Amino acid sequence: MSLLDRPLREQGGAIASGDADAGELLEETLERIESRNPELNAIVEVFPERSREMLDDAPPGPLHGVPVAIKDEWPLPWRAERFGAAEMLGDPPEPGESGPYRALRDAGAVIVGVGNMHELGAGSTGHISVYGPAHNPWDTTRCPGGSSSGPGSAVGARLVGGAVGADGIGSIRYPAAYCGITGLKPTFGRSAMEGHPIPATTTVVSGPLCADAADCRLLGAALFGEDLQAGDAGGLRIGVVRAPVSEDCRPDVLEACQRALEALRAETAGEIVEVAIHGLEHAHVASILVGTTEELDELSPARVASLGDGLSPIARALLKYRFLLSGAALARAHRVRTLMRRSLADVFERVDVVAWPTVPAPAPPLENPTVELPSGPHAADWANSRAGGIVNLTGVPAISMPVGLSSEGLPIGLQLLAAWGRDELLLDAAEALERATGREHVEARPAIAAVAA
Amino acid sequence: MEASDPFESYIRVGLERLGFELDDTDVAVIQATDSIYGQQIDALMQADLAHVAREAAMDLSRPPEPE
Repeated sequence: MSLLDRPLREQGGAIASGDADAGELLEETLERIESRNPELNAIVEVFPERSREMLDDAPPGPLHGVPVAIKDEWPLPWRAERFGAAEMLGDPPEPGESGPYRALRDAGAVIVGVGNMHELGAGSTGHISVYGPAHNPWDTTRCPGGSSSGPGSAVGARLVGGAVGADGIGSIRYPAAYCGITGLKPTFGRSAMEGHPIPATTTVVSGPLCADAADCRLLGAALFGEDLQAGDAGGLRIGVVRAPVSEDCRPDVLEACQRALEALRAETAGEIVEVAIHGLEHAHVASILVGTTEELDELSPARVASLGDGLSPIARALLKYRFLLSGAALARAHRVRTLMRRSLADVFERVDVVAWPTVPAPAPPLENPTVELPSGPHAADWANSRAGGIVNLTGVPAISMPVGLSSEGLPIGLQLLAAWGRDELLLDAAEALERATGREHVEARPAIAAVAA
Repeated sequence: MEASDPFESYIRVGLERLGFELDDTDVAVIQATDSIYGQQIDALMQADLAHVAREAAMDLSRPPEPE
């Protein structure tokens, strides 16, 4: 097995011990991107000379010489971000040292490419992008998830062992679930964000997408600028809710998540407790209202008009729709934000984590991103954000981890939420689930990433 | 184009008043989006939130201060 098919931590360990050559690993990574990426469109730009320079200058560190990708959401010193769009809403972006870039550089990592993303970060599917859609490595006719579509697809196909994404209304967790990998949405403010196109965001965070939790811990530590100590998830108190977010899901998704929760409970000698989140029925729309209006103060009708063909017709129309939203509704959404923060704080007095499916159905077709749920057919964006938005609305951390395959052979993801600052507990819990399942789900790979026996 | 229903009128009048030019795609996308989220916004407008005390200095990296 190639070192490139091993976890990030093993890649870093082999380089540190002298058992592997970082230069050879870099070249192999670039070759793999060249061979596999045309089917996926996960990586939208590589810059081999810059990557080789990064390796030459890489300091000793936990990721020394390890190739990673970064979402098209932050500037690099040699490349301005495009945010998945032909034109930015605000000032034209410029190359620069963003926070995530510095974090990766200082950890010794080598950025090998920029990951595709849903246009302006405004979608959970990845099917719209100025670069064309990224594709799901498990079925290239399917959505990879968004908005971190490229990072999800790239890690799922093992073009790289890890990638940095961003999560505003679930944008790390949806592609993690769709692509069968692990994605951590950190506590708000805990991970590097400097240089983001929405500098005053109260919802978006950077975070890692990797094959498993231990690699998310390693890459997350670089983004956090601090160790994420492994702990013991023993006696884990797992909260479950009776609500559409955990019930209005495809049966195979529910079954896989329920099996995983029982395995996690048994592995940790924990308990499953039913909890109620007061006001949960308003969290979804509140997260949409808050999350989609954060940059409205920088936009004017004249600016939107000037974008012209720089945006897709859908993105342009949605921007106009935001101007129609009522101020009263937005004020109420902010009041719901407070309500949800208090409700979750109350719930986390009684349980350590709250669990429900990351997304209620597996990846839909790129050509028709809708899902069929017990309540009927829905736009995937609506269904996904119902499960993911509360996390960004309140600031808590969450993780998505693979827990099985659907009837079509597509990955299913389970999401755990924890209290503010308990990101490490989520990683501990995910590792406990990996142990409980013999790492079956984190080792599962799509055909494009199959490893010869 | 003359609007054929009240919501379309609202879209056209509201956005044109702000100085936007609209085409039929804009209207169709906005109508479709409102059909998805409009009921939830209506429910939000009807919700009794008066009992929810404001969080004076919200810090999203931390749990809320006790009321």
